[in-house]
Amino acid sequence: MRINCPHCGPRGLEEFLYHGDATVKRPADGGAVPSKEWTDYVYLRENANGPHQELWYHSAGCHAWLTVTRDLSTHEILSVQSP
Amino acid sequence: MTARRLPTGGLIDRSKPLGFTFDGKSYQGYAGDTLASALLANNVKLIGRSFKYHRPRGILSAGSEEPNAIVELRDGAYREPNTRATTAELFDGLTAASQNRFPNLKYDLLSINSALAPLFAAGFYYKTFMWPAAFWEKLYEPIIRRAAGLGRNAGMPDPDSYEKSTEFCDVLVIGGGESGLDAAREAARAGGRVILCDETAALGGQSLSDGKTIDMTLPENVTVLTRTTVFGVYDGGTYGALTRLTDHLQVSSAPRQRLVKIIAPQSVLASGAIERPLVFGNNDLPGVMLAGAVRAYIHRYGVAPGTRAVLALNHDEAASTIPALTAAGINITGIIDSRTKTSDHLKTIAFAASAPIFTNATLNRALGKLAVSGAEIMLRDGATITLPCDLIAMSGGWNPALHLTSHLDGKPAWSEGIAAFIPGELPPGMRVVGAAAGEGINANIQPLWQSGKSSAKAFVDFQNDVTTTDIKLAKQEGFASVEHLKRYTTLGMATDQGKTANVNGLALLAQAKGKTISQTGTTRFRPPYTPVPIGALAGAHRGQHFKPKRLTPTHDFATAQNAVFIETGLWLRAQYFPKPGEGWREAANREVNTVRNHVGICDVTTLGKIDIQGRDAAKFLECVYTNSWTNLPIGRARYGLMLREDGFVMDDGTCARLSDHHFVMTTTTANAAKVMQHLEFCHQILWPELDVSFISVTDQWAQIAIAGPQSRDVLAKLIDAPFDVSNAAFPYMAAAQLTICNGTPARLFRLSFSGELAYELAVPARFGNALAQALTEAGAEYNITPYGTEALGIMRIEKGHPAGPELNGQTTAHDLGLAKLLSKKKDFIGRALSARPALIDTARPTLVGLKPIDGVTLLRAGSHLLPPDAAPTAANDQGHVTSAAYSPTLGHPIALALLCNGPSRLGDTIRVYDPIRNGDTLAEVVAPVFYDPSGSRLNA
Amino acid sequence: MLDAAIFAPPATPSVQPLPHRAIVSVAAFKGQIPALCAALGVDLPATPRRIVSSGTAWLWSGPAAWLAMSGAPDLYETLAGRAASLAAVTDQSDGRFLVSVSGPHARKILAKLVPIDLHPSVFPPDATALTLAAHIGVQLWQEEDQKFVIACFRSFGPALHHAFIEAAAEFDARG
Repeated sequence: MRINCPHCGPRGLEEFLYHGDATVKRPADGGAVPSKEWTDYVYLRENANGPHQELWYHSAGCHAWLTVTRDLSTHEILSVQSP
Repeated sequence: MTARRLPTGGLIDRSKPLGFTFDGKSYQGYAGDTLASALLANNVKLIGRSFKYHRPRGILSAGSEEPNAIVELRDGAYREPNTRATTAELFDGLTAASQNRFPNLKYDLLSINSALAPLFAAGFYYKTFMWPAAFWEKLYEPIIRRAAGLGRNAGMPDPDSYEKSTEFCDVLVIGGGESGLDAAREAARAGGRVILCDETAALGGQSLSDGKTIDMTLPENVTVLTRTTVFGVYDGGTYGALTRLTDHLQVSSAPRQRLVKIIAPQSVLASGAIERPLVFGNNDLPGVMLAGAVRAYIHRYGVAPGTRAVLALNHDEAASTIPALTAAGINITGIIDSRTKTSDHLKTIAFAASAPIFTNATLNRALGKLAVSGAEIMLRDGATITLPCDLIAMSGGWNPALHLTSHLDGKPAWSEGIAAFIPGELPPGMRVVGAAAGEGINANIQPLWQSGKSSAKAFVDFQNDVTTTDIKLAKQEGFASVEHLKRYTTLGMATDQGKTANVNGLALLAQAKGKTISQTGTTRFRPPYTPVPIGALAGAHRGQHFKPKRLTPTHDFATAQNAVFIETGLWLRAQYFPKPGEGWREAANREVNTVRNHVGICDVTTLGKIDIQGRDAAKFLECVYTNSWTNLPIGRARYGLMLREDGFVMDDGTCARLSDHHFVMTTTTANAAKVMQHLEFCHQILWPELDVSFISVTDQWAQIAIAGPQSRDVLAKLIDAPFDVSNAAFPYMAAAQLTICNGTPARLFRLSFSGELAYELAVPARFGNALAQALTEAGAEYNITPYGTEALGIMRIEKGHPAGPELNGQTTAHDLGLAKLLSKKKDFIGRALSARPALIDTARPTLVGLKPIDGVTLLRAGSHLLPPDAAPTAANDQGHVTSAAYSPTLGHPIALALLCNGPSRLGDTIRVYDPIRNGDTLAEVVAPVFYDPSGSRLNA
Repeated sequence: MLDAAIFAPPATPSVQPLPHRAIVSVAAFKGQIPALCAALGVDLPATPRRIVSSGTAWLWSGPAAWLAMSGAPDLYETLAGRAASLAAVTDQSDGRFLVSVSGPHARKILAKLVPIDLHPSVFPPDATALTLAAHIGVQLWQEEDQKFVIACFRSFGPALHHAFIEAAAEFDARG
């Protein structure tokens, strides 16, 4: 698999680390209470097929975090953006 | 001149004779021969015994699709099983041996399996050897182990070296035959970079086998890689290929093979086609060969594979075998055309060769014991006749070699017109040309999937010994989908991936089900197309070089001090410094005693050091650490705890403030890269509005801990005036930038992992060895000693500092007694979920200390903790020992452990249970600080 | 001053370890790139390129980050002074091991260890890249005398050097 880093250009999978779902947002309430919103943020994910937005880290390159839109059934990468 | 070598012809070099041995007997061949062609030239037809039934097997093909002629090549540590004799290039001194026979190829005792065939039908291992149950381990398994398997592993480490490379091009052409050469020339005209790969040593493909002359010129921008198999197609226009660099040489110290990753946005698959065997009784006898292979041995290698031949076919192209046989002086006793009507094309050629044609006739069975001696034919009226021959050339048509098109899950499509699968959905960027696309093959074909009405076995998958009976049986037992057929019968699962078996197999399955081949479908192929040695996948990364080693800046100093090193992640760290006669325990104990009574130095460079600068540096630290940072004074360090967002402890370290906007964070050695990634995530994703920048300085600074009551005395000798290192001027947890040794820039931190008066002194890494040496000289009068990770570990356990075994990803701040570090006033990573009731439950295993009741029994990390009177079951498990050591300071073993309700059980007796290592002893629960609990030595 | 020691194995025709040089990381603070360029008097490259300005080489080393290199022993102090509140300036002179790969087989040697396309059509003389070589994180560029220079974290030096010696053996062993 190859990912087109917007800074470095197209690179092999071995240069990146996968993080997870890019669509989940960290609650902004300060975290004083372990609410359902927080546990959902940490544990709950949609199990959808097709195009999926995910976060990758260019660990062996420029250290940029990237939002990659990838089709989970065809593996085709549709877009790569700085977050 | 060997028995079957033709007087002239072939692409071999007759001026270069080569000697080789097979099963201990010596033979001669020529440069350009394969092992198979050289054996045939010497009239050696019996090459091996089949997998299950131990039937005699010979050479079926002339290429990498060969299922039968697999041998052990070379000997000693170089011995490799299951090598296809048809692709092994002959070299002088080559040694090969047949497989799967005892005591020898001609008289194989296990050929009795043939008589027991009904027991070994498909799926037999699901139905046999099950009763009585006790017999399995004692009797059945050992017998099966000895009888099973194909080929023997050398059992020694691979002595060859391998390398890798990455190549880039605009177009990758796979296959250097006529279509591939055309495609390469066309691609090159566009001006970009073209790579052309062929799995054999010479370009030309099928044209070499057919004795046809073609244009082999190529422009400069085509890079040719011969002896290179493209074995896999992967996502992103990535292709895996293997180049055999020295397999064709007798001996070489150069890398044996090169794993080449090719990145190509476009590719052309010109892999040609693979001929289909016919399925009839005893079609596996030595002397039964694919018609195209017969032509290849004649044209390419100048070998006549027999003296009298029968040619069986169901399409026109196989007719080109007739002039080849004639030119090689091989008498044709019959042409068996299974079609209802023979084509004019065939009639013309056969007539010219005076060869008799039997139309609408099929092969019933091959005759012979260890080799073909005749062919039994069934005529159109049902009568059978026998034709004398020692060679049966057969062709059931050609299958496009489309394996690579299905590596990304593309399904091949059945083409009724040519009775073959052609590529269906293609990997992105790939197009297919020539025979691989189904062009120019199987003219006038009338498919015949099996023939013969005798009881003789008719083979579909030669290598895994799968017959027509097995396919019927699979369907009968309900394993009727192609995927089930494959796995139940093992058809297509041998080292040849069923290249000569798959299509025949599923055509027969379709017949058995009364369905069309389209309806039946086909299995997918997966990489690799042909076997790839594990060594090639590893390349240079094996043994000590599996992962790169990282050396500390004091490595040379430590080596000179007789250090024994230990791997800590990628790093080599000094573990202990034994004096003559000392083992690790004596050395570590001495080092601990010296540090606690005098002074010692230890390289702590490996702990991650991250330089953090920016207006919002302190704010950023507030976000990632659980405790407070904005109020940290300049010139001070503070212990910091970092959680994961799920509330569990991720890492800990110290962080020093060098100025308003400048901090230096340390992490544990193991988590340095992970923490860096985490910081980048927090900055780029969670808090992009913060103005902060960080960079690793782990390698920039050599950092040495100087610990012990006399550490200040030693340090003072090196520090440049006017820096004041007195207790008042530089108290516990102070941090500063200064110079030492007349102008060497340095950073000084008063931190202590050992619990003694201690400092960590950092200098630019190139001064590391010199600093260690200078400290040693300065400390000589105080009996200074270097100490390693062993002593480091003992002292931190004596002080109860959590480290790796306690920060195991399953512990919380509460578990480790660090709850007071969780700020109640601000958000930080992990704040919310760390407050979950289950994570603050005091019944959780919590940090305590342990002492053996008897004062001498060593406690071991990993031991479980149980109430003394309870049965040792999981239900009674109350925690485990995390770290343990013999304490030379206290004179008895100690341990840290996580115990349910730990802090409220001080003084209790607990059972420390370690059944795997025969440990079972009682211990007293104590506070997790064994030495100087008040910390008075730290503040001296 | 303490004695300095750097890993300095013998050179081969294709592979030479390089002597110590000043290396300084300069990472612009938020929105400060134009001011930083002005303060330094350098048009810092916004894409992975290497430029040379008044004897100092500037290599792009990530978004809004550069490595400055020169022979000046006080490079860190100079840049820290000029860039003061505009960028994070960090000395990296001891944080890197540098090795050069040169000669007619340089690209073939590099292809064995580096997984990126170094063909002149896509990697021109002023290009630089952050990538891997033999599983070690590296920055790679070319210097004036047509040699490739590869830099890794100092502690990986012996491992990186060993990998290049092996990769070059095919060419260097022939003498």
